[in-house]
Amino acid sequence: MHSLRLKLIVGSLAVLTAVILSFDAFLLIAKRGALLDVLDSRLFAESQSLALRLEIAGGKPSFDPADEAGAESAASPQVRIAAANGRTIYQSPQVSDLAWPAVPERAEAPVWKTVNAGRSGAWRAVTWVDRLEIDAGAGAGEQAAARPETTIAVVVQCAESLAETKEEMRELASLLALLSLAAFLIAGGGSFLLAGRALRPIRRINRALAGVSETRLDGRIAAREFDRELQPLIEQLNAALDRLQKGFQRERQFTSDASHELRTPVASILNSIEVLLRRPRTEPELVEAHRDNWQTARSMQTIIEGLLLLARMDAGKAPMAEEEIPLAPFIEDVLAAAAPEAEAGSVRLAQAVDPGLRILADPAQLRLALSNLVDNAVRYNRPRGSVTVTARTTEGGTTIEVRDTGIGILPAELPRIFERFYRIDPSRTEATGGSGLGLSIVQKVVETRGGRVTAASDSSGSVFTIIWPRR
Amino acid sequence: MRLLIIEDNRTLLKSLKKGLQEESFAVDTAEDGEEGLFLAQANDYDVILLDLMLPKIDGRTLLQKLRVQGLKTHILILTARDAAEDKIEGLNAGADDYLTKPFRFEELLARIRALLRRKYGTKNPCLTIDDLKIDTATHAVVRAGLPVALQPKEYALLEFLAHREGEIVSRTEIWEHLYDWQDDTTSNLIDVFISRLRKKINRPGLRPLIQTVRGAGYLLKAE
Repeated sequence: MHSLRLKLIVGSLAVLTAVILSFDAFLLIAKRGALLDVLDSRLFAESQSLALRLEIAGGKPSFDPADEAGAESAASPQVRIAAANGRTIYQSPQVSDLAWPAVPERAEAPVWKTVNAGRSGAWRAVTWVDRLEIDAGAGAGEQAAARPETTIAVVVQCAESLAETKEEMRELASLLALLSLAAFLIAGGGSFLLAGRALRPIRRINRALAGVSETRLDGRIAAREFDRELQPLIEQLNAALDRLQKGFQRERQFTSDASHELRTPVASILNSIEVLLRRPRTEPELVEAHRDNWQTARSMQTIIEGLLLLARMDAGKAPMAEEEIPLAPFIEDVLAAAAPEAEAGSVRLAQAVDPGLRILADPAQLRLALSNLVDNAVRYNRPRGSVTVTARTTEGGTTIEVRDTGIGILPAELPRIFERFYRIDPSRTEATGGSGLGLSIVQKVVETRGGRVTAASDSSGSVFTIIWPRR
Repeated sequence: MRLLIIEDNRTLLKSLKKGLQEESFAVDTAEDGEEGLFLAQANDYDVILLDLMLPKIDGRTLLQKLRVQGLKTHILILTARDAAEDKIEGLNAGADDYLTKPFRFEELLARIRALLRRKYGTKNPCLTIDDLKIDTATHAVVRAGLPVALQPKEYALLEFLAHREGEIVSRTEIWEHLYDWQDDTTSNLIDVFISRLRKKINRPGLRPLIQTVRGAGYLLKAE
């Protein structure tokens, strides 16, 4: 059962049915009790009036049924008068198969009982014991109590068929059944409409979301138009849409940037070749064009490899080794690789690394991250400046700093420098080189490992800080 | 015809310059917006090729600055941005044409020539002055039914004079339109080119089309 509406309807109808049924049962039981009460008191009154007609004749009780004859019918009460020893003194003749209930011992008080009488169904019978004074004329309570032998016990029984009661109960039951069915149907319809009303916001949200697609992500649901209970949900949905839209925008920007970054070198190579082919060329011309095109192709390769690495790391598919790396010799290596360029720019390279410091990392990725930072520090330095790499153990793990003495980065630029293809100086010339992806790669490598990289800068230079976690 | 290329990709700039110079254009180059702005203001270029993503001053700002200052030079945007919005924005900012990278060099040439025709108010790519015919697309020159072989600089000089047919063109103007920064040409050298060109065009027995106006400059016109 996967329909919310169906669940709501069935749920509410189940509750309603339970309520109706228990109400019906209560009514029937109460009515039956009330009917029996009325019947019982009538039977008792009837039997009392019968008892008044008992006489003592010759020390024995006798009953004159003369008055009874006219009133006898199947429905009218049946009576039985019996002596204490069980001998029947009088019995109405109509219901022969009525099994009169046994006389309970010491039954001074009336006892009511429902008995079965074969074909004529259930009967209600009252049984009580009357005590007749032998000396009816001088009847005195004290005397009677004093001389018990002066009274004779007579069993008076009076019964009436329950058919009428049953009929009444049946009528009530069918009336109740009819009313209950009507209530059930009305409630069913009502809960169908109510469930529909309760689900209407869902349909509205659905409609609003249907208008939102990859190309049209600016649609939002107006939370104000919904009930208070739904507003947090809608705000969450809108927030999710915001994040999605930002993500798509970033993605689109990234794709557009990437194609832009690649188009210019492609244009350069194509143009160079087309111009070259327009007329016969000397060997030096060809060599120069080849050298230029090779350099351009190399810069494209750098961009493409950077893009591939980032894409693989974004997808969590970049293979990641984990080795214990002694930092001092490792940083020495990275600096050695940057040495030729540093020398060309008269930049001094230095390191201050705690000897014996080791970290867990993928050596290739760590080398990539560190050499990107060192290359930048060398490239954007000033002549006779310096690049210093320090590493020490700190609270958060291992802190590696790459400090330069370059022109620094403007505060407005700092938050954006890790963005893909973001360039402080949007020059794409080979003079500064770089793919525009270096710092993004550094950040990706460090963050994939659970670390953090930050940049700070002032007019005396910039410092990039990597905090590499222990584990 | 003198062109300015403002483009920050050095190898693209280099091959563009080479190709265009071989087509008899005088070519100046700038690698960033600042230098480009300075050159565009300092010289009277026939066409400026402008990249949009530039260091220091981006191309769109540069374009707006030039247009606000009233510069009438034809500007062709040469960029990797190929979205329709970018083209609309570029043209609305005052560019005359828009070409996306990568492009065919031939197409760039054709577009530059179209802009030149616009500048000099002609529609026909073939210029005809009396019995002199100049095909600006192929650089073929015919005088009285016979082809004339010209050096690139001679051709450029002839085309410039032909565009200004009937006007006296000063040495300075010629120098400004036919030579770029790298040419260490003095205006005296122009006299040398003029006399060589005159020899080839004003053949004996034909009407002299190229004339010298003493103290003012040169004049190309039909009798």
